[in-house]
Amino acid sequence: MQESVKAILSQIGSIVIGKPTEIRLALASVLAKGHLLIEDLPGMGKTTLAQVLAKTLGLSYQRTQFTSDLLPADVVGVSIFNQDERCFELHKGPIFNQVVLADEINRASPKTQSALLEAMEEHQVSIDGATYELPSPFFVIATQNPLFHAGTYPLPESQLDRFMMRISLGFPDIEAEKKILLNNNSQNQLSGLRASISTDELIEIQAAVQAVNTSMSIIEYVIALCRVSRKANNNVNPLSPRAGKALLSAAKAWAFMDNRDYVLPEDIQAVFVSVCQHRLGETGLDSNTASGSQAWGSETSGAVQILQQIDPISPL
Amino acid sequence: MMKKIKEKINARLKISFDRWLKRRMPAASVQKLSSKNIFIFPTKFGFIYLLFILLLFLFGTNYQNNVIILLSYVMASLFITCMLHSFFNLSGLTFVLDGEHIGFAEQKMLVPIAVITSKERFDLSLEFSEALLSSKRQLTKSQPLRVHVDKAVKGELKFNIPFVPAKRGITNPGRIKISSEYSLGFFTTWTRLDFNIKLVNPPKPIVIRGYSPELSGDDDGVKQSKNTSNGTEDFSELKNYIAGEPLTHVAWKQMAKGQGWLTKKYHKEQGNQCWLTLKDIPANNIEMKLAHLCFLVLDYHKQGLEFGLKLSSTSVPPSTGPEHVKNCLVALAAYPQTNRLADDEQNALNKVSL
Amino acid sequence: MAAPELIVTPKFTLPAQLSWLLIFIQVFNVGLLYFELSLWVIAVIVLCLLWRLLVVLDEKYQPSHWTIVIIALAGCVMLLVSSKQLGLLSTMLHLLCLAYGLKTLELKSRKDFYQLSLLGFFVLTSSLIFYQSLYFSFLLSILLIINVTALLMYFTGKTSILTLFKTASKLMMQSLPLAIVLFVVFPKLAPLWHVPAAKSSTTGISNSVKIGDIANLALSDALAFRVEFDNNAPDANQLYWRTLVLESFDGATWEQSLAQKQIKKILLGSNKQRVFTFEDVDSQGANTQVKNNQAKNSQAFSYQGISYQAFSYQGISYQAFNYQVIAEPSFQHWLFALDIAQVDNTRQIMSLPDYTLFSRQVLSQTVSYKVTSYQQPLLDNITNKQETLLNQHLKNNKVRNLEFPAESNPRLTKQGQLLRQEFPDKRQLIQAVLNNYRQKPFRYTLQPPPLINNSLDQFYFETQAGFCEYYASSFTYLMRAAGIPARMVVGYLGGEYNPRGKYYGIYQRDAHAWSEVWLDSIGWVRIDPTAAVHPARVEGGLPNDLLQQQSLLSGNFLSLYRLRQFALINNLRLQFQAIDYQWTRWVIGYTAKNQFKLLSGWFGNLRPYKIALLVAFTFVSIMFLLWLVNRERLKIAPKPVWLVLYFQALVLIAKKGLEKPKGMGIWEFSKLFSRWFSERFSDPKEGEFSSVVQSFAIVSKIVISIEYQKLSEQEHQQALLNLRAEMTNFKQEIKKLKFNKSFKV
Repeated sequence: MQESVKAILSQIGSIVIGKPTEIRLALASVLAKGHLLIEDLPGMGKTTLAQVLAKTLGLSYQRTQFTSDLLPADVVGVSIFNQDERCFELHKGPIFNQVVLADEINRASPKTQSALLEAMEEHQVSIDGATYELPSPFFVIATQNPLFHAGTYPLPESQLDRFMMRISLGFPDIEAEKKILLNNNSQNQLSGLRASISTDELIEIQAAVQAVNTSMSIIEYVIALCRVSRKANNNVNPLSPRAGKALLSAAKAWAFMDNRDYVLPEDIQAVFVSVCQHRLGETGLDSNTASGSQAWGSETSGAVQILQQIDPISPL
Repeated sequence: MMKKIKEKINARLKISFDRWLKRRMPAASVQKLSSKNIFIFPTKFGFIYLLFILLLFLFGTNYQNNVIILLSYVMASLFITCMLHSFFNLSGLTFVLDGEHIGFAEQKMLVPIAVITSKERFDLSLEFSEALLSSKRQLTKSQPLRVHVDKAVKGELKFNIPFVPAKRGITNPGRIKISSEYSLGFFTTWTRLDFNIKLVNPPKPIVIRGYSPELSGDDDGVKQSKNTSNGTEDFSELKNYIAGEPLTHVAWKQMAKGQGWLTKKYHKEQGNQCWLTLKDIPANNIEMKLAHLCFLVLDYHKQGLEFGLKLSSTSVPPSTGPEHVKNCLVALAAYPQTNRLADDEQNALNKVSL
Repeated sequence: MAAPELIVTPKFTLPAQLSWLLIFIQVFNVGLLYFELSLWVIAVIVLCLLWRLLVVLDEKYQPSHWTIVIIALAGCVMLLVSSKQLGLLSTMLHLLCLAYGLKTLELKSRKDFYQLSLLGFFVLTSSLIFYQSLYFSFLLSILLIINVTALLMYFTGKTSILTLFKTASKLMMQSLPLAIVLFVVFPKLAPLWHVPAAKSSTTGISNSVKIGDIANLALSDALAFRVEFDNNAPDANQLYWRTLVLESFDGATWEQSLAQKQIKKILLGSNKQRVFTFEDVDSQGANTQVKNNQAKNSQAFSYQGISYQAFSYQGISYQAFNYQVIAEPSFQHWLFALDIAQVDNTRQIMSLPDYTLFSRQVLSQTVSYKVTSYQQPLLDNITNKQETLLNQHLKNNKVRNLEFPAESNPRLTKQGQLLRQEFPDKRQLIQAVLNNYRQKPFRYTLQPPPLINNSLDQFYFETQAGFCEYYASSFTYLMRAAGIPARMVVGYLGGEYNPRGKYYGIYQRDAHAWSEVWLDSIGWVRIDPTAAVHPARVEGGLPNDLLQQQSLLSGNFLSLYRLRQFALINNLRLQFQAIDYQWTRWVIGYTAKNQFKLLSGWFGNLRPYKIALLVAFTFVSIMFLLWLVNRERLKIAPKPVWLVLYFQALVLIAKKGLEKPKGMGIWEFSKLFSRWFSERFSDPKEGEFSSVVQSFAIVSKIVISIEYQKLSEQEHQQALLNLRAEMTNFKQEIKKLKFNKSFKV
């Protein structure tokens, strides 16, 4: 399984250049069965990353460009009366795919947003009273423009919580940018991608991720982090138990990708900013290199401050 | 004569003590108790207990009874242990209090304070230390201006400290005294914290003699109407109906004609607004006038009328709602003190500085 | 959770829980004094408490102020009436208890509550005048804690009583160290003024002994006194604890002679007179000139002079025994000692001419004194100095001890006269009498058949069954009838050796009577007729058959006889008694002298500033300790051993200059350490240093595996072992580093 993980990472890395950490985070989110929110300026490769991810994992996927006039039915699907058969027929929306790429989600109206988010949470949709199961694995990658861009409806905090991680790609470094500029047939490359693993394999890996060992001191560490966020007055939204759970499963996936069957505090720290920053109600744009393991540098975002307050060796 | 000198000395002492307090425990809206700001002194009971220990010791010595002597030592030692525990009972407590609080002069108001504690605390009393010194002694007698809690559990608690403002104005009520006699009543531990809060004390509302809402007319400088305040006076235009507008304003006639949903818009007459004006209030001194005005403000608010407030230099534009009333009350409180009172204060200051 | 509430009414009410606790406390506080209080006072207090109970149940029963005043006045009048009988101390005590009882009906303000609490403390401590044993003190301290609990409860609102009790105990425990230091160090003062002594019924041997008295006394298992010998102890059959010498016999009762009473009177009357003269003794006949004699004190021949000389009598030195006696309160003046006793503390304790010890003050509480005893014949007649006086004294003494009411026991009188004719040699005579006891079927028993009019005749010739005083009494009578000066001595024989406490406990059941006869050229000789009848009694205390009798008669369930049946219980009993003994010795018996000795031993030359320093030091250190205990801190769970080891490693590294950032995990830090190390110590001799890095990496790895990995029990143990091994390695490595570093820098 580790081989497949490596293969996936290298394949994505060959197209999304110079962002190994972000790729790892995105993959961790997939392996931990969490949804992913990518937030960045236009043209940074958000959509590319999402596409490559879906393709590499060999999942059925559909991309939906969210616009302000997009209706819930456009996402979920509608029942249409079939004159010939004299019965209602379901026209499935793009949500009935294993990977749903919701591009620029914050440009859609809140109604549409919430239709998508409800589906994410419940893994099922109801159309005209009938309930339909969504395929499994089901995984939403949403991309989002920074909120200060015109014509956006910010996602409410309660719904941000449904995304396991929020990552942002940030500008590439010089070497990476050179490569990007030199590469002129990225579209071809993208369409020529082949799946690295099968769906069954993915499910197997997801199960293995679940089985990663978390010792009591790791649990305590997570609790301590959540508690600190609740104690400090400056956090508008403290971390909920659901956040703690997401943190734990993301850390498990991270540990798994590190070829370990147990979680270290370092895993928690690696995913902490991505998992928690959007839940704390902070914008993520100032942290272009929001990869946890280097988090104690000069950064002083709220999430990092929380990390610095807790000693992982005796957390409580 | 002696009494006067004594008073002077007391006043002097108090001033220098206050100055010292200010240096040592400056104002802040969040304060944590520590050895820096906690005072401990034995209570009367503590002194009597000490006397009891001495008696016990003499008793034991005279009877050459070592067990009694040992017991007297234990009790004496207990006294000291209690001193430490009294201190620990307060130390580490955090208090949070800031902002403005509104309360009528000469009436009891409650000032909310948050207490944060990491362990159980016992026998806490909170009061404004100046409240006892204020002239409202008779009031304090009948109901102690103090909030007391036997046991404060771990976490954050809210207390409402009662206070009776002596007079109208925007004042700093002074320091808050937090005291406790835990653990055995031998010691009282206390602190006086300055939170630098502002108390907005509008005058105590006084009913205007002969006033009744129905009878009051223009001659009082008061325009009064019994209907809803949302301008009902003059029809100005028709506009498209927006969901949520009162149905009473829907232009049914036009609708019947098939012109669709329209709303009738009214608009108030500018010249004949309802103003409460200071100079028009019938009373012979300013304070009384303000008190009457205060009453009117409250009364109008109760009736849901729209009104404005005009004092000599300031005014509050007409409006309704609790926010508006608050603004009016603040304006009333902020009205400059009348000369008579100012003189009194000056006298008091002179006395002190002598 | 108690909601913050606004006090609207200043009306004083005690919480129900506290009210009940107060009643409970009052019952126990007064209960401690139950035996010291008159019945009517107890009745009044019970009434008050019952009334209080009603008030607690329903407030409408609150008695009016006047009712209380009337009860109080009535109580005071009653006290005034009975004050003479009660004595000053007891009256005060009654008054205190009365006030305590009445106060409970008048709890109207915080002040009243405080008063009640203080009165409670007072009542509680006053019981210590009467009882000071370890058990009692223990009981008292528990009650004291409960008293404190009540006080605490007033300030803590609705908290469970158990929690409060714990808090109160904690307060007490924290107060204890300073109290103990004060007790040991603070100068013991002499009584500052005279205080009324506690009056109580006397216990133990009394001034007069009738037939049957000792047998009754022997039913009691109460402790009389305890003795600890400095070095070796005399044989068990020599442990005759002399208490009283009775010289006068009226046919039924043995009493002290007038002369002896006179001495007692003089001793009690004058505090100044330390040395006591024969003239005092002999002047009794006329019962005059007491004052004159006191005036002549300085020239008078000292009785003690005789005893000093007696030691080296005929060039033989006798063995001396040093021991400490700790006497339980008997409310009498008599003390206990072996023959011939000498005491140091002549201020409080006198040696009487009849070799008994006499305490100036009634033994109202435990008293300890040091005695040196010289075992030798009781000689009187050696000196030729001031012979006239001495001879006069001896003559008087002999005469006194020959008097007897001849008509009271005619058959014995006749027997004595017969013996006198038969045996001209006194020793033979005595031997003949003792033989008679041996040969005739005399029985030693606690249940002798009753005697009519305490007739010794009846005992000696008919019933021939009795306890020690029967034998001693009849023997002494017979001796006097035969013309040999003889007297009755009462005291205790033997004692129980407690091997744990290394002391002898002498109980009331060890009470004994024997006689002394005067043999010219020797002096007073102890003759114990009981030894002739029942030698085992003398050798080893009450024999089992008598103990069984004693147990049956006294009805004491926990009597020695019963206890002895079970080795375990008996051991326990001895253990407890040993503890109680240590308490008595070190706490109750801690005198100024002991204190001086102890402190001089510790600090050499005793100076007030040293004491002050010591007290101050204790005070400060206790304050500091309490501070440590109570200061606000995060609760740190006990760390598992691997983390402790890891933290040790962290400390070592921190000393080298790298501290772990708080939020950093173990793995990151080991990497950081390696980076930091290579930056700082990029040295040609890298091999040596990198071993530190390597070692720490291994330590980190093991800790990680223990802390975060799922390990089986076996793996876990193995990992711990590895960790310990690697830690020693790491410690060595990092120590080397220090050397190299300083070398390099």
